[in-house]
Amino acid sequence: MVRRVDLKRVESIGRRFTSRLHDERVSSWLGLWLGVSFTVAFVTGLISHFMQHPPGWPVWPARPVNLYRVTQGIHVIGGLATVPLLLAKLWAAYPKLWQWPPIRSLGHAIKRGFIFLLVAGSLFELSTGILNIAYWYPFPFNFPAAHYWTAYIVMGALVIHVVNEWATVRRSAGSAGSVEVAPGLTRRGLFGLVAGASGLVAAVTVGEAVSPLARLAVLAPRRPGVGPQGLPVNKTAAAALVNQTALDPAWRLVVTGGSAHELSFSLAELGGLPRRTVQLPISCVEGWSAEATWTGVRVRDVLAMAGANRHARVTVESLEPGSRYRTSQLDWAHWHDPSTLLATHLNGAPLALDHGYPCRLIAPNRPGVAQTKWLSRLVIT
Amino acid sequence: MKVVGYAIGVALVAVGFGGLLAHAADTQPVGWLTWFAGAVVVHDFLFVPVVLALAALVVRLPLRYRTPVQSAAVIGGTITIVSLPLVLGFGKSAGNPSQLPLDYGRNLLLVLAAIAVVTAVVIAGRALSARVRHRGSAQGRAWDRGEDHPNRRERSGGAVRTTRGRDRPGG
Repeated sequence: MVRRVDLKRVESIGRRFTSRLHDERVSSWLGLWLGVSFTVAFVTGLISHFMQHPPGWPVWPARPVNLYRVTQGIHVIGGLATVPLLLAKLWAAYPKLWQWPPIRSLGHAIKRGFIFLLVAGSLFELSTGILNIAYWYPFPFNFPAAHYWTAYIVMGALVIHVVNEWATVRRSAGSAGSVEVAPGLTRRGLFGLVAGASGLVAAVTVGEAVSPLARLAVLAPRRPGVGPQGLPVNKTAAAALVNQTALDPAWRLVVTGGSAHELSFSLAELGGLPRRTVQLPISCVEGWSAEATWTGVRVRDVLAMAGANRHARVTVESLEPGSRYRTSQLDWAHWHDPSTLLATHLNGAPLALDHGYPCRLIAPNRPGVAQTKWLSRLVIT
Repeated sequence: MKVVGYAIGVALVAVGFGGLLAHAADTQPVGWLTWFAGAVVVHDFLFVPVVLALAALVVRLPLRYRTPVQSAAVIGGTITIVSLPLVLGFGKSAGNPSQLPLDYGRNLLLVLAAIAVVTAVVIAGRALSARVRHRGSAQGRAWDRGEDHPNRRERSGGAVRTTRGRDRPGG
């Protein structure tokens, strides 16, 4: 008896959401935008993943210089701007959580299971992403691995959701309309509100990637121009445990594995080679980016001296004793590029220790973690 | 056609779970599952009920305040959620001052204050234009007193219903 009353109460919860905020057209439009936004995040995320974990294919080009800067900026800033959209969409769909009976058939149970994966995965991706760019790691897993694999679950569940709901979307998404969906709020007003919230989130963060808007980025984790030599630092020399080795006067850069004999340069010898100055950005995987002026020796000149094969792949090694990003791969498209340097100077002065003194790699269209600092060896394979 | 979509979807989901399990040392499946399911629990049974309670308060406001206050709450709430990890500042690093270099608590308050100012201006502007438009009419005076437009809706219990069109219960 008591149990029956309770069930009725649960059943009545769903019926109490009478506001048309929860109507089909609102859900359809928000869903369409969210689908586009998630797909963009997935594609830009895959680009970033394969930049950092090169599978050997496809070969990522060295040009345009700012391509990765743009894709990763879209991934992070776009991801932040998706938060209001996701919350509005879940709000619109919330009554369905309380539908009664909760399960009508096996098919319905499976459908709800995939909805759970979609909702959980969406919340997981956005919340871990937000925590990661704030350098706060309250979770037990490695962020890149968990964020990457969960993205496939979200995309799979999204494809299934789109297949299931496409007929509804086609029927109801005709026009945004100006019908009131809640007291004082029209459907168009609601969409404007979501767009406004997304726009504000983007406005106070995008300056961390678009330097002219830096002063507007009041709620971004980085500020271009703030850091040693006017450039933000991701990993310091102290954190990388290279304080001693990087300042050792006996430091030499070794180039090995080519057809010629092994080469080795002191900092002074490196300074005696033909020098170039280039403008290149540091484009961090966390979404911020900032341009700087770098001076050093072209990688392709050094590799030619070492007798490297035209299509050789080069492993760039740091003095760092141990880290996931101790080394990076330099494929032929990147090392042939005339702007790829073994840089010793930044903005006209010798590299600060935190920027990779005595010598670092700087190359176009490449994530910051692969711009290896505190170089020790180039290994040609 | 649908079958192709389902196949792609299931394959992607399988790739995701497969990868999570294959890289268990990095993904910590138990911790992952806690966060994955926990996100839903927190959103559905904590976040939304709190928002619903706040929304129920806002709905009691006179109509001419309601939309601006709703809008300000939604926008201000969102910006607070997104920037909260910066404000809390657990990611600050003594050795790396370029990481989280700003006073995010102050900046968030400034953004919220700006939203409040815009909201106040909108409310004042609405009150002014309503007074001009409805000067002398009984309806206008009722509007000015903050009463609902009589033709627009009726209220029943806590839930608000539109009188036009269909009501669509969720489900």
